Amino acid sequence: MCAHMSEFERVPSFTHPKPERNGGFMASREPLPVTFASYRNLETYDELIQADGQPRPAATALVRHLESISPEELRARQDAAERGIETAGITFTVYSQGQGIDRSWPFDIVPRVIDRHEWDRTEAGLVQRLSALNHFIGDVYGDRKIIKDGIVPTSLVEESPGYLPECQGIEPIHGVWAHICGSDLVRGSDGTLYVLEDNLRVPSGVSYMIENRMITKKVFAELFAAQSILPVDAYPDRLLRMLSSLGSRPNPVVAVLTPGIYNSAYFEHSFLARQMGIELVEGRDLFVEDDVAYLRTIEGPVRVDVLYRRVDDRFLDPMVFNPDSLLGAPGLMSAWRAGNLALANAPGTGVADDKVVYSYVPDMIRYYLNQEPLIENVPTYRCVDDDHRDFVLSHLDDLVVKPANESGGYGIVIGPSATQDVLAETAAAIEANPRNFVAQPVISLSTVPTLCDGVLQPRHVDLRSFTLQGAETYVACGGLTRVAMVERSLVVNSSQGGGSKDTWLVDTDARVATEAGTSQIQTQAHLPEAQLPEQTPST
Amino acid sequence: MLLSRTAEDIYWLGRHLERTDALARIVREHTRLLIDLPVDVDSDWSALLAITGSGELLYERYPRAGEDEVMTFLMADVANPSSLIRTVSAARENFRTARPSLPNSAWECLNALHLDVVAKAGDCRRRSDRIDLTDSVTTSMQRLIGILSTVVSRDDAWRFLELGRAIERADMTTRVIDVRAGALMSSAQPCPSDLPPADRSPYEDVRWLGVLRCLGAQHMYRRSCAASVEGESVVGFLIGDPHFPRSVRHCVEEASMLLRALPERHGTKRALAELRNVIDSVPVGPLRAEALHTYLDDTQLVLAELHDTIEDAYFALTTAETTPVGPNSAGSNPAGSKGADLATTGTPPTRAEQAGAQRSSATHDGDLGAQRLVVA
Repeated sequence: MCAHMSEFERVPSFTHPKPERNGGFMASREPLPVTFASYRNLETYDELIQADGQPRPAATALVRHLESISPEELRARQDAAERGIETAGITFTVYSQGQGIDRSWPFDIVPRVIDRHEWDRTEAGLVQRLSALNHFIGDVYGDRKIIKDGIVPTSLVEESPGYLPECQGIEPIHGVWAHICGSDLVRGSDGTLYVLEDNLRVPSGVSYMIENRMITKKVFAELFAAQSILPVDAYPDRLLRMLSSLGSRPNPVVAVLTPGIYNSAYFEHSFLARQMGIELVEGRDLFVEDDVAYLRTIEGPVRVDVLYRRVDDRFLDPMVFNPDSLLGAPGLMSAWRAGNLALANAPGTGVADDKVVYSYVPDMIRYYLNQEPLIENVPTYRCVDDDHRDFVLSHLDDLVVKPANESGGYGIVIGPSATQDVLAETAAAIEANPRNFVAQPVISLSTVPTLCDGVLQPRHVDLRSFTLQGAETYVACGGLTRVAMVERSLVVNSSQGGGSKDTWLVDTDARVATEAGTSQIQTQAHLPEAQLPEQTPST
Repeated sequence: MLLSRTAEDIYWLGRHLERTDALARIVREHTRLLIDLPVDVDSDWSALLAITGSGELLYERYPRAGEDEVMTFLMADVANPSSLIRTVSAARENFRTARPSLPNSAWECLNALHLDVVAKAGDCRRRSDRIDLTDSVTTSMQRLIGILSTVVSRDDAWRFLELGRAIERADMTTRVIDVRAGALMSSAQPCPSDLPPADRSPYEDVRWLGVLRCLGAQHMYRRSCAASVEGESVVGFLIGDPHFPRSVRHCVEEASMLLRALPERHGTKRALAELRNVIDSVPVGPLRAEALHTYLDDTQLVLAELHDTIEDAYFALTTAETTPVGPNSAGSNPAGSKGADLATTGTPPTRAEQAGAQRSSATHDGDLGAQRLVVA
């Protein structure tokens, strides 16, 4: 059931690696000792190790540490991490034969490292991007200036399945529709960072970003003393602050709306509610009266002002959308339209969560913000455009073809590895419905050393970033690195053998003690001191 | 703020935690009792099964049940709703949905216990393995309750947790007394304790000690009664002692105190009066089997009614399920007005009732109460 499928549980819509030439990854041919002396990844960019075999500057402390510990020690720490995940109950849910099964969260202990200098630009680029997208969504449901000015075609909006006519004319607070955006970033073989897609509906994964750091702090505690790694746990506070900024009353009541424990991302819903100290509610905990939404509590109804809803648009309100849905509550849409209830994300943001719309984001940034994009888009051919379509059809075996509106990566055709039959079917599908397809050149994803079968091997990664926009904007420090555990695979999906890594933003400018313990213990002499009382010895 | 649904989960968490604790203790003490009894005394499982109300199901599933089968059934059988594995799993599910309201360290403790029970419950045929596992359950529960009682604020969520625990504890004590003590006292005429000590079976005292141990009461009993372990004073202590935390009286007093501190609802005043009545009618003086049975029956009935009252007063998701919603609705239930009483404004059937889920009733020969299933 779609409502139970979060975007996180999808086959990522990755482009795929070049077909194997020159023997592929040298490093994966034979088991390596836990050192990087013979670790090489010649095909693509490696996030920790340069082409000359030396660590990248931000990764130096990490690589040196990994070189200093034995393979047994490294494996023991991986085991400790996995046991910790099991005990803490950090799970995700997969579906098999109609049943949801909780599985332990897959985690690799070798972190992915990003230099803070690079991140500063990325962060600005993500804020820029979300800002432009929010302008666009507001414009779509408002005056449609961007269409009138001929930047995007009318069909882009009206033929989008994510477009909700119910949202026309609404002006949400701060002019923001997508309050939480999960943009997926990938790095090409020349080191360029691209946005692969923007998830504007109910992006997930941020809880695992925070849990991954908790685990790393346990298993690699000593590394944090030797360098300056930016903390990630400010996110829930920033999220709560953003959500509170959407309320129309002072001290608004904010809650997380979950479809329930059978949802694949329930762990995250519960995690975020817990971290923010707010209620985790289901549809049956809510009711709406006179366009005001209430929670059912033991003390009677309590008005709720802001819902961080993790329920899809179509299941939000049975009076407006799917009449059979029990996941939302009747009247939520009218409460939202009346301005008595803020929904994050707002309904209708799906109109911008579309591969064809994605291809226009750089134009939107120029149009609305009068700026040049700070992060690149993957070059995208729109099949609806005659010139583009002709090119795509004649280069199908070199390109990746994606349906515009399938989430979950369904229907992606990877030209270089597809059979002639599949290519022919794809060509026919494009001809029949060109609006529904885009094509992109193949991008080889970057790699990170990953513990596989007890040795470090290069594995492909992406990065899901998390950007917030309310009264203020905020970008989570780094994000969630997902890794394809299978050699040469690009499937980072946790239900299909994908794993995850902690993501470190390393501040290479910060002065840190070279060895733990060399920093002086500082005492503040002026603090009053009183000894603890002691029992008087009896004689 | 406490959602009705969360209150229900926390209340059931309290019940399931207490039930887990009791089950582990009772199985362990029963196993120890067997070790003490001579080998030619037939192993009697009926008391153990009657406490959990699962005898019938056992013989359905294992027609030739011996110690191995009984232990597998009580510890690891997922078809037995009162098995250890099911009870721990139910507690974990309750906690899982209530996690935003409860401390993470307590969750980790329960989750680790669950993993442990899942891994080991199936392998409890050896008495020493069984004692090890039940010991470790007890230790985990003590840790868990320790965490909860040191870091949870004494708010309504806490009250529902403690209310669930107090009701379950009172129920469990009446069950233990009823099946064990009741059986012993009525098996012989006159009551065994009326006989001079020399005429009693040498294992009589061991059995009564077993009753105390099933409730972890042996030490406090001796401190309080300064008496040898005899049926009448043991029963008197377990029912009426005002200070022992697992005595019926203490549990009922605690439940009253907790209920009084919650927002008043339809039926809660009457429930409090009935609890008062249970305390006031604690039997005094020489106990006869029939009078004891009547008292225990009445008490169990009051506890079952208390449970139903709490359910109706605080957990039922009423209003707006049947009230038309929209600009033209009659507004018969001005839910927005302050202090509107959810529990008394029209009570359409809840989803659970529609699903015909079993109503929990802790009658003396019944199953352990089961949480209603909410079918979404």
